[in-house]
Amino acid sequence: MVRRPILRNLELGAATAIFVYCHAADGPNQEHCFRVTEYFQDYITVFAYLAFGVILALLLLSVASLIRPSRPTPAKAMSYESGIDPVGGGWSQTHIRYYVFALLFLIFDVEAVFIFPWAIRLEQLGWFGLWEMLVFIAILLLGLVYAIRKGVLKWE
Amino acid sequence: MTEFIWIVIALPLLGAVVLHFLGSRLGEPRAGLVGFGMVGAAFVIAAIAAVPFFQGESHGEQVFLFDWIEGLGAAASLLWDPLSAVMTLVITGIGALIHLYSIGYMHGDPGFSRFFTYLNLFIASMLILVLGDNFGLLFVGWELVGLCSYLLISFWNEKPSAAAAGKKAFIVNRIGDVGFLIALMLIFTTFGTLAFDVVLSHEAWDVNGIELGVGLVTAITLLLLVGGTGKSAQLPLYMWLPDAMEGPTPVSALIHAATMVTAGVYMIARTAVLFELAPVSSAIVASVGAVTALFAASIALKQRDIKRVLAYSTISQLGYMFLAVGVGAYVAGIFHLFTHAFFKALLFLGSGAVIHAMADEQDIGRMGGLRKAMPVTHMTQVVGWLAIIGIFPFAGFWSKDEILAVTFGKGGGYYVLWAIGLLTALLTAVYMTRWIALTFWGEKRYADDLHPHEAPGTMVLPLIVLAGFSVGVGFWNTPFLPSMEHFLEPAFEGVEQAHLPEGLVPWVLAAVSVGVAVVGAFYAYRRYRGAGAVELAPIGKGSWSLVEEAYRVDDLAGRFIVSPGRAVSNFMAFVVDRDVIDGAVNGLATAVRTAGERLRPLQSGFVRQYGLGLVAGTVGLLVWFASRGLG
Amino acid sequence: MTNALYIGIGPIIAVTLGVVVLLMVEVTLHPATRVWRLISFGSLISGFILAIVQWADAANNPQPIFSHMLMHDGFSAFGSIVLIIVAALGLLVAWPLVENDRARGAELVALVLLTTIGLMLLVSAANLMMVFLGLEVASISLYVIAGFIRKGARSNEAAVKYFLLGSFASAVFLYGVALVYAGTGTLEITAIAGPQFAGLTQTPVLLVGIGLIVVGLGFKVSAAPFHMWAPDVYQGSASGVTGFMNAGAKIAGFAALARILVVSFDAQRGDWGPALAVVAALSMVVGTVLAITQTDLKRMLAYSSVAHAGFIMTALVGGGAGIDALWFYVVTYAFQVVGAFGVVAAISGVASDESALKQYVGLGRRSPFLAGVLSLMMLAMAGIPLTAGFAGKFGVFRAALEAGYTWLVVLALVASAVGLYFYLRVIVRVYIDQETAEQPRVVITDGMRFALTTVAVLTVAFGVNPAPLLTVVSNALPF
Repeated sequence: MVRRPILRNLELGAATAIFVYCHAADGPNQEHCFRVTEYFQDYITVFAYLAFGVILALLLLSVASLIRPSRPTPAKAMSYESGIDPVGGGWSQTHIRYYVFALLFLIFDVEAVFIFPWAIRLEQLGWFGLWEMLVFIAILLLGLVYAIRKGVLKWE
Repeated sequence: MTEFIWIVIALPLLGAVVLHFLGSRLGEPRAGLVGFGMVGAAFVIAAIAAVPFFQGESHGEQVFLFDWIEGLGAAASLLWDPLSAVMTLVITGIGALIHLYSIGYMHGDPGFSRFFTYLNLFIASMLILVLGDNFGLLFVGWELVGLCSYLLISFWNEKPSAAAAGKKAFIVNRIGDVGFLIALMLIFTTFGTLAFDVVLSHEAWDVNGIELGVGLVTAITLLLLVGGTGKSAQLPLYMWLPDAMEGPTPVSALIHAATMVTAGVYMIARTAVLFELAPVSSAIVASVGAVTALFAASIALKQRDIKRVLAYSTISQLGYMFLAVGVGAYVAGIFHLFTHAFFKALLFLGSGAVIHAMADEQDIGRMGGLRKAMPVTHMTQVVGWLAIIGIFPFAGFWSKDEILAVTFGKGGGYYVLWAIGLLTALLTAVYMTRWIALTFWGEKRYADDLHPHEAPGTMVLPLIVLAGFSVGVGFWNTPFLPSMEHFLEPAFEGVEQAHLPEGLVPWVLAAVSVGVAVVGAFYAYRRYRGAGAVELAPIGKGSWSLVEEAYRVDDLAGRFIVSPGRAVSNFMAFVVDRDVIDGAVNGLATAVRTAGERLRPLQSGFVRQYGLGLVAGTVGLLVWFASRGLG
Repeated sequence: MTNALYIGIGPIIAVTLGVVVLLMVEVTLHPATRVWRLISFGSLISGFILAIVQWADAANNPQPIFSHMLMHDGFSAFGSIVLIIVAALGLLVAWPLVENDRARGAELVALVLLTTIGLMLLVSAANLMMVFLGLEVASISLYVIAGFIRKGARSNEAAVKYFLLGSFASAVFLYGVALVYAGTGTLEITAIAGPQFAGLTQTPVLLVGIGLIVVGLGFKVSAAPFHMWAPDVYQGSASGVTGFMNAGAKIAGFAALARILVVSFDAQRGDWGPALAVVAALSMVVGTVLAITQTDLKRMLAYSSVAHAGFIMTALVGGGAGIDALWFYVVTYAFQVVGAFGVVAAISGVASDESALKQYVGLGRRSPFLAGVLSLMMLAMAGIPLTAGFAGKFGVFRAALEAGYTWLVVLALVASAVGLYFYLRVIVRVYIDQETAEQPRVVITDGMRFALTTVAVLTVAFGVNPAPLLTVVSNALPF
């Protein structure tokens, strides 16, 4: 059991507080407290994973930095950009038009998020589920139609 | 007839709506005639509806219209009883005359129709105040008349002083209203309703099992008194009324003499049942009234503005009314309210005619000798003057002396209040005589290029009618034939009233107060009859040498009464009134503004700062909730 | 069962269809603006009728629908009715703005309708996730509406500020929802108070979650200290739509807050009651004091809306007993806001981002109609008797008094008294002050005149006789 992971998260703080409260000598609601601790044990598992992940990453990086040789050259210190020489500052501006594409991409990306779980349950949902999804996609498509008709995809 | 009494309110309200939308199209003088017609019609209806009271056939009834706020007892429901009938007749009767007068007075004013819109709205509001059968409606009327008063005081808004005066009236009244509002809350929590028939009836208390402690009733009544002092310009909230004279003169006559300022008296008379149970409150009411009467009268001695004299005089006379209702002489209080409405409206309208004739001159130091130029106005003003100083058989004599006699009859500490009242009567005689002497008598002190003339017919007619009433109405309630007392009996059922003392005492007292008035008037007449423009300029300086050796009595009076009085009134007028009280009122307004200015930099326009505010608030709430959960 | 399903979602579907049809027709046919009006008001009117049907049906048959996602009850139906009316009035006022921008006018109409949809979801939601969705649909539409005047620097600034702070508040709200889930294991509004966690009512996780939800919704209704965006946004947005933005957010925000706090967290009333009271008190004080110093009517109204958020919140400190008072206040206030901003739009132009008080000098002579409506709205906001504002204030104060929050009511009374100062100052400007320079003549459209007349009549009618509306709202309680 992880005893005291980093107390950055409020849930954990609260969970700990309840835990302490319930394990005090004569808590007023012993049976409730029992259920609370049981409930928060699920979260403690999550935190265990979280802590494990963080510790693992830190551990690997620190071990690597300890055992690797350190011989910096200008070429090595350069930002990695797929082999091309970096040009300009890191805060370069991006054309505002990409923003619209990003938005449109996001919409259909989220659509996919809905479609995957739906596809798994399609047999149970039946025709009703099919129609619902068609309505959903149709509405999103209408949005795309609107965007195209408004000319947002034209690059002038 | 009674069930249609709401028409009395609806007519002026309709007038206000019509004038608001069509007023400028109607033009002059039709807009004024519409206003006059509405109020006049309301008067006729009210008079017809009041007939059963005169015949002694009815004790009043409620007229239910519709529910307004359920659970508060604040229905749109009217009470038509002798008390509200008297008030309604005064409001619509004098109101109609003043509307008529205003057609002449406001002639040529660019805001002609706007003036009548406000005036009609005021009449409707005032009627709501006196006709409501619950404190809710009373409060609605109370606030609405305050609003109209504000609008009308600053009617000539191009004058900064008028705008400031309106604001002052409004702010001071709000202070009183806070007290009134808290009183209403206390009433509601005590009685569970605001309806008069429950709050003001011993039977209803028994039925509902309401136990009233003296402390509670005292608290309620004192808070009501706070509201009353604001509206009726009593100490310490009187100071808005003199400034309110910035409004057009008909407004001063209607709102700031005859009707609105008497709302406090009406309210205390209406809640007599409660005041009866709180002797301390009643004593305070009486004391406030008496002290205000003297205080205002002493200030009036020094004023040079034709309307300010009358304004302080109004405060002083309202003090008499408070004294009356404070000692339990409710009928006497209402009676004085009734007579005062006539003669003070008369005096104000008369001074309006003078101002009109003198091309907006208001300094009585620069008048004089107007008797010849304005004979009719002068005659009516003489009647008003005799009425207010209480000369037999004019109206003021009957009502004022009843108050003084009843106060005397209460004995004990009330002798002091009676003495104050008598002293006030003396001062009243002095300053009113000074007022009329400087304005109408003696030599002319105004520039030669002024040619004062008699006012037009629409202005003179109301003066004559009011002068007639100022003589006549006093006979409604004489010791020989107390008809008004019988008339009002149903309204004060179950309230023990103070009465005139037995035997010869009232006659002796009446003789004393008339004597005092005559002495005061005679003194002032001698003093101011021949006053010239030069000696008036610094009032009272060096002019005492004019007093002849033969009038050592005057001299003594001057030395022992007037000089200290002058010092006091100087102090009151220039230190207490201007610096302390005005300063406090203006300071309150400034304080709120300053707080706002200080907080403004918080709203910098920077998102990061707004975000910080959001975070701070969030953290605050989090700390609270977390502490609740952990604690 | 299935009936309730369709009846319950009917109003939302009707307005959604309106949006879709409007946008499609616009990009394919480029019709006259008359067609926009036909479609948008057609959908609003059918939505209104369907909401009435929902109201009638929900009276006998309240139930959660769509797997406990939405609630089919009087509360939802009444909220939808009011929101649709406010949207219609708002569109009438904003219509000149729509017609002046042939290229993007339809978008504005669609955005107003979308906001309405989001707000309807917000009042109808039976699940905290649905509340969040409704909140976001409405908020994102509102951000865009705030920035509708693309050329105006203030409008852009308003949109950015609103967006940044709004997303922050949404995140806080969402985190609150997550914590509530952590504390109770459910997101269903009715189930949170249910038996499975009975007795676990005061856990810190749950309470902190409630606190964050209050922050999120408090932001949307512009309660202090989460109000700072309001003056900048309401001033920066085009005058034509500000009234709708403000009124709609208030109605739905408070409805959602009431439903969540009263239905889900009644057991924790002792915890959130005082917190809400403090927020209410702060809002009243900050809104009132800052409104006094303003010289721009739009900004003054924005601060006054902060103060009003405080007044409305006063109804909630006592829990469910205050819901009818809250409804009454919020509905009548929404009309007042639409009316007041409608006049602003008429005077300074629908697209303007400022409305200096001096523009109103002498309005009483230039346009008695607008002057009358504006003054009435000011009186109503100040809570003068015989206007709906008084009856509303009375109701919320009584609710707080009965809950034992006397100090809050006293503070509220003081705030109302002080507030009178700046409301009446507007009336003084309108009727009493003299014009120094010739002001332009005021021209208003028929639609605007209709909308303003409607709100004025309603404000007086509910003020003189509040009983009918009180009867209705007392039936509009959450199921």
